Amino acid sequence: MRCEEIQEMLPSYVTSEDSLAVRRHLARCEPCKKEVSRYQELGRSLSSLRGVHSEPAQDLLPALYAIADPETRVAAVRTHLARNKKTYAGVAVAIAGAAGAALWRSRSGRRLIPA
Amino acid sequence: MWRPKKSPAEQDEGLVSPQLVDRCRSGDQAAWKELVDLTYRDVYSLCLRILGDPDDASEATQDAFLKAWRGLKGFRGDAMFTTWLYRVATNAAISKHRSRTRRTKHEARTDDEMLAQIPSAASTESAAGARLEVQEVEQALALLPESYRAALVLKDVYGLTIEEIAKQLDCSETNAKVRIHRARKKLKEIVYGDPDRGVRDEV
Repeated sequence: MRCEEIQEMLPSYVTSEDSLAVRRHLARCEPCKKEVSRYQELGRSLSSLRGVHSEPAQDLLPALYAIADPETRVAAVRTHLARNKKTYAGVAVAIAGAAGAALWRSRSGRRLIPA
Repeated sequence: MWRPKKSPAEQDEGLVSPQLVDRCRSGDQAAWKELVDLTYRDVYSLCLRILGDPDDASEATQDAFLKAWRGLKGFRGDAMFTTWLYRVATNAAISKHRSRTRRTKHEARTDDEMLAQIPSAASTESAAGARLEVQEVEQALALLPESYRAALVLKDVYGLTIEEIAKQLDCSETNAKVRIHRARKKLKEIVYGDPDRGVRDEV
């Protein structure tokens, strides 16, 4: 197999090592071996990110504490609703639209019934 | 051969005790504060890595803890609490990702434009042999298309199985594997340069 074909397989190969053809190629190809070491280095770096934490904005923590406080939870839920109001409004419009269409259909239906 | 580290639950074993969860379930506010203190950085960092935007990550974190609080009563004590919390957090981040209509500047760009923005390979190759800086990898992650990033983060940072990732991202296992494969390839190109663009300084 050519280096290009081997290198296309490397992103998955680095964690599975499931191809004999790739293994044989790597045994005698320095450039492809170099590529493998890069993927391995990236893999190690990615798994080390697990222990690296980003610090959120200061107002997040009080908001999280407030969730368990019955007096402030209402405010937290309100914020949640306000933030998602576009989604909820969209759902409401869709429901209203569907109801309107159903009503219209039932009315048109009624008109078809002879008096 | 490099293998992903242990799953989050395995690493955090003992971090959140069943007693603490019980106290939270009974409405103990001090216990809830303790639980939040123990887990919020992890949850926020997970959301940030999936979403790539601090404001979105804050909102997803709040959604996750709100859902966790409401779901505590239904939480089965036989599952590891942190495993469950990560699932809730990943769901919150993924649904935030689905619901937002605006696109971040990186995603609005085409892949070619995106790759043109990154520093030349020479600057990263100068550190060849040295361990990649955490910040460098975080920045490169943020440049990945979102659907690739979520799959890669769940697999290579948090050690979820393909089956779990497919479930979380609501895609087939084959699709999850393809996303991870492409994400690794793109991340490698971002960090070390794309050989097809002639920026790689050695072969």
